[in-house]
Amino acid sequence: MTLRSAIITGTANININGTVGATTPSTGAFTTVAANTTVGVGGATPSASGAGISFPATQSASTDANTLDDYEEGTWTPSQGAGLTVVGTFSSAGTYTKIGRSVTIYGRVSGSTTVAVTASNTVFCAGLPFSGGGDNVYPGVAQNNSTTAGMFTQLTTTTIYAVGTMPATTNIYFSTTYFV
Amino acid sequence: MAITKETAIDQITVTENGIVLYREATRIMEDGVELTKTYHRNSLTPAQDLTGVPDKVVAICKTAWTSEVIAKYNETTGA
Repeated sequence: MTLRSAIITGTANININGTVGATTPSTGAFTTVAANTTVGVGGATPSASGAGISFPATQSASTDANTLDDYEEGTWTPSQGAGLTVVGTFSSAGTYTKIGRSVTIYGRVSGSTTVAVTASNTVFCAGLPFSGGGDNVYPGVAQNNSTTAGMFTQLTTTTIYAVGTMPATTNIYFSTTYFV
Repeated sequence: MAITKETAIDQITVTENGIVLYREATRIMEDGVELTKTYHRNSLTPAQDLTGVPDKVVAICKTAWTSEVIAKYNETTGA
């Protein structure tokens, strides 16, 4: 079966399963997809909410350079690294978005009184949501109320290092993008 | 019409150096049909404190984190 084109009106979900996806499509296009329509690829069940493309819960990796084979968004919990000095109770939160092999993370580490990085090139948090192959170190930025400092990931250990020191404040925020 | 919430560890990966990565999926269902789902991910390094970690993941960690794996991991990180 070759899917050539489709015009969809009203509210509907479309599931292009693995059989169709395994063939090389002929020239054609979806010309109209109604609002509130989701499309599942790779056998994924189309999302019941919103409009967009639903990917399988587990990535079906493609070696083709022009194929988007994964999308996932969620939360993660940064854990306290040995280089993070916490006064009071430690807490943290983070979010991630993975698009293909690109992972963008945001995180916050906090102390109920203060947190600080007192020595450079130390692990200030760990628990990255994805580990990586290939390149291991990706640069990023960490910031508190008064200081902006460099940081870098170490994917093989799912840790994040602070390049410099950061004085005591309530929160340290950080973000980076890396590739897996 | 019954709305239910289901939470499950739906992915666990162990890397060559003993890192355990897992994903917790939370699904909101209506009469058995999934309305929405969210993910939460974590990763754990060999010998890390497992307080609060789901039992299923703890079992994997205890199997994967042999004394040799922990020693080798500590060698590479200088711990």
